[in-house]
Amino acid sequence: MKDGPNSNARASSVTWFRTILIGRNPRFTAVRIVVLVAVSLVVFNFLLLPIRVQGISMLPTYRTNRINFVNRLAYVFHEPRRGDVVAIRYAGKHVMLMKRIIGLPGETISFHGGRAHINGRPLDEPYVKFPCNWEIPPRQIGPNEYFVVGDNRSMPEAAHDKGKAERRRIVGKVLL
Amino acid sequence: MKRWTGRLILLGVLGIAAFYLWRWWFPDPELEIRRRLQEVAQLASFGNNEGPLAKASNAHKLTTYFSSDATILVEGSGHPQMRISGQQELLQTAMAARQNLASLKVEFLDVTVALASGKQAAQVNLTARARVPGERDELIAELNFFFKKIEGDWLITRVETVRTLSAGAAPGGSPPGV
Repeated sequence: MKDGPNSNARASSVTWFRTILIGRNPRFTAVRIVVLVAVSLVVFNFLLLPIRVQGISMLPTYRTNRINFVNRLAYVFHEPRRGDVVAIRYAGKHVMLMKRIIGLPGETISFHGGRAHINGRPLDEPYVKFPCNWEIPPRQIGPNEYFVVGDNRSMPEAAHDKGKAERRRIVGKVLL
Repeated sequence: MKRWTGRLILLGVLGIAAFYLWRWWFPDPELEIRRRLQEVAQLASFGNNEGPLAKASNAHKLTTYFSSDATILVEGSGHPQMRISGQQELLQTAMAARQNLASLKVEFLDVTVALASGKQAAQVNLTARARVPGERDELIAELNFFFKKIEGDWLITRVETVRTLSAGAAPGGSPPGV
């Protein structure tokens, strides 16, 4: 006598809510959650490191507070290339530098009139949008080093982190 | 059966207590160094609500983590090299920072401790991050801390910046001054 259309509707909504929350088969849902957590842990700790860009040295290519990822497998089959935007570690991977590779091992790099020169030849850099007046004398890049610099060269040269990064410090290539 | 269970629990509790007592009396050098670094970061940090007595007390306490002849050589891009020698100069610098800045938050990240053979000295590599309110960028530097065990305490004898990106020397044959 007490059961009516209202209690049926309530029971149906409870079942519907339960299905959304834990699925039709709770055991299968639990397995899926465990697998998802395990895969996320592996992917975001060892393969794609999530990063938040901070600072102005990579403007206008990367703006501050943007979320990005570092692909740690990018240099498994080949070495870093000119133009790659890479993450360079300090003591570890909690804080990293984001820079662009413009000089490769063995090359000589210099800046004249704000323009980068590799082995004496001017380098075409379409990603540099702001004016630059840097003057940096020629520097030899070592056999296991890469010359890295940010895209925002309108900053005073002394305030801009740039220079030769050892290969072991390059954690991976910035994904997006 | 109940007697045995009780004895086993008692044995377990005694074992845990013995372990912690052992660790308290003979602390692991690496853990001790990490703990002291944590304390250094806390004492180097300060908020805008720190009173004058607390300022002086914390600045003085910070110096006790360094040896009397400690040297600190820190530099960052766009900032001149800072050299501090001895506890007295360190105290003055710590007090000056507290006078000139409203607050400062110092963190030590990615700490790696390498103990020398004999476990009487250690080198620590870490990333230091300092946030100053009102400044757009954080100050970030990779540092090497050199520790020495002096009269039973792990004291910092030297701090120096690691150049993550090196400028390098000009190639041979370049004209002088280049």
